[in-house]
Amino acid sequence: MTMDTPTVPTHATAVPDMPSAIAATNLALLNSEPRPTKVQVRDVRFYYANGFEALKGINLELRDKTVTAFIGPSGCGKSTLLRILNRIYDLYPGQRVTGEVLLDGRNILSKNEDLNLLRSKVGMVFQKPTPFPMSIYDNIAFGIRLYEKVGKSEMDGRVEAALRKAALWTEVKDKLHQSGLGLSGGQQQRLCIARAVAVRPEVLLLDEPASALDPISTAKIEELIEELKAEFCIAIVTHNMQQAARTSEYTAFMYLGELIEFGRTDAIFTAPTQKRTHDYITGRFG
Amino acid sequence: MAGYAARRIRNNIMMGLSILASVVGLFFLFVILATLLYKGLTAITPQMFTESTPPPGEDGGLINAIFGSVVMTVVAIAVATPVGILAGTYLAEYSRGHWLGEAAKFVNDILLSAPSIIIGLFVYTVLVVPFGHFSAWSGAAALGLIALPVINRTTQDMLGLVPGALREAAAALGTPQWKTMLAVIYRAARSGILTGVLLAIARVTGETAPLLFTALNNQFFSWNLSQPMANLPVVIFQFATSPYDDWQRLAWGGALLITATILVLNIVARWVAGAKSSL
Repeated sequence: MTMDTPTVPTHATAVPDMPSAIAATNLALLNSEPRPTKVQVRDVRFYYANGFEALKGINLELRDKTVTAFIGPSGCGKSTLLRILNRIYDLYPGQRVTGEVLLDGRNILSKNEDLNLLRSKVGMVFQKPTPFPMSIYDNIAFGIRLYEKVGKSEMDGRVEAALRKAALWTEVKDKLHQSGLGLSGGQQQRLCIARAVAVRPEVLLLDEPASALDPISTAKIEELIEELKAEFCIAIVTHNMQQAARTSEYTAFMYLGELIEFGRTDAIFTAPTQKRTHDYITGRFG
Repeated sequence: MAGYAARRIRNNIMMGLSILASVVGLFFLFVILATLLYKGLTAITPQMFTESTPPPGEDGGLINAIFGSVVMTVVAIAVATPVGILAGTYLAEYSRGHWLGEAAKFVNDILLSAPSIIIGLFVYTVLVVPFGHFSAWSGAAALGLIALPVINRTTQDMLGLVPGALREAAAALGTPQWKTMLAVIYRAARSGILTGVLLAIARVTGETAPLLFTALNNQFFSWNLSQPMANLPVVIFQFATSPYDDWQRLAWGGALLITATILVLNIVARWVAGAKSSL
């Protein structure tokens, strides 16, 4: 990965009412970054059903074929932000979002958005492994069958390819028709990643994908992220700062619903411009 | 240390009382079962399963009553199962705090504990009086009305136990909600819902009061659901309160048969509920 001129990270709190200033710094990022923008988040605010404002005007963008990490203490809104990108929050009535999220320039927060189609393009992996109560094979084939008509032999190939991509093939190739619930936690999580990539999404959202796993499984998941970013635009929420530093090119540090600092990961971790970012990454709080 | 000793004594007293309470409960259960076995076993003969209920003083069996009970239970469960599962699905997954859903849940819980004689009277009023005679159809309707809230409530509870993460995971793949329900959530809750159906069967198998008002009884073997039909609970009621020894013996046999059926259904239900849904 060749990283050229470091850019100035955004100061969202320094200029809370001036999104144009943030846009300007994002423009600086854009100029030094050859990979096209996949997702643009513009002045996004999120309200829970009780009216609590969990996100207070977020501006950032996700590059294609790049990993962007969202870090910050518990309750800072990083998972909430992730859950807006595929509108999974829509499952819960009363939750409300304002602002814009542009996927390839199209606002996915619009009322007419076909959510099922959107989610087939923006895949998600959750904190806890969630294999469906069906065979390993069917766990993968389930998502593919939703939007494609695929013959038996092609389906076999797609399932194998997805499992290989998730580094799970060698472990399960002899028990494809056994229940996905019989796998270990780490294997279940890789099954969920395989399931998500099998439908060939464009964006992959990972919500603390390794936080429930042992160190060896975690290492496998991180290697996997490294390989998957060749194909997808990836956003990962993590509590583990080493993980963010290891896996991502860009990092967004969030605190109490605000984006404090957003920029290249090496810059955020070596020379943060905000005191709160510095305090957080050096372990003073959070 | 004095405090500790006192605590131990208190613990032993409470433990003793708890054990005593369990023993009292189990004692009467076993007395009932032992009486049933003692008096009922002699009545269980091949004849019981081949001949219809006899007039006093003659030999006979219970086949017409067994057949009637099975037929009415099958009809009742066949209707109550889809309605109950669909209603439970709506209340657990779709109504989401809507006033209609909340009201329906409340009414269902009342129906769940409604005395079965009330259900019997209700069906008597709407299905027996207008047609002018008792019938197996009305008996099945009464049993169905008793089974319905059981199945509805268990379905709600079992769907509630399926983790929300599974719904999110399915939605995150772009699965439409109906497909999520059919392919993922029902699968995860399958054994629990089946348990509810089995418990509903066990519940209606022993119901007497609603059948007294609806199916009544029939001395003969009958296939006609539009006519009164014999059934085990009412036959037991009638024969057990009769002055004839042979009728009383048959009543014991029938009682043992029903109890054994319910016992088996409960054991199967526990086994189904305990069996981890493997696929």
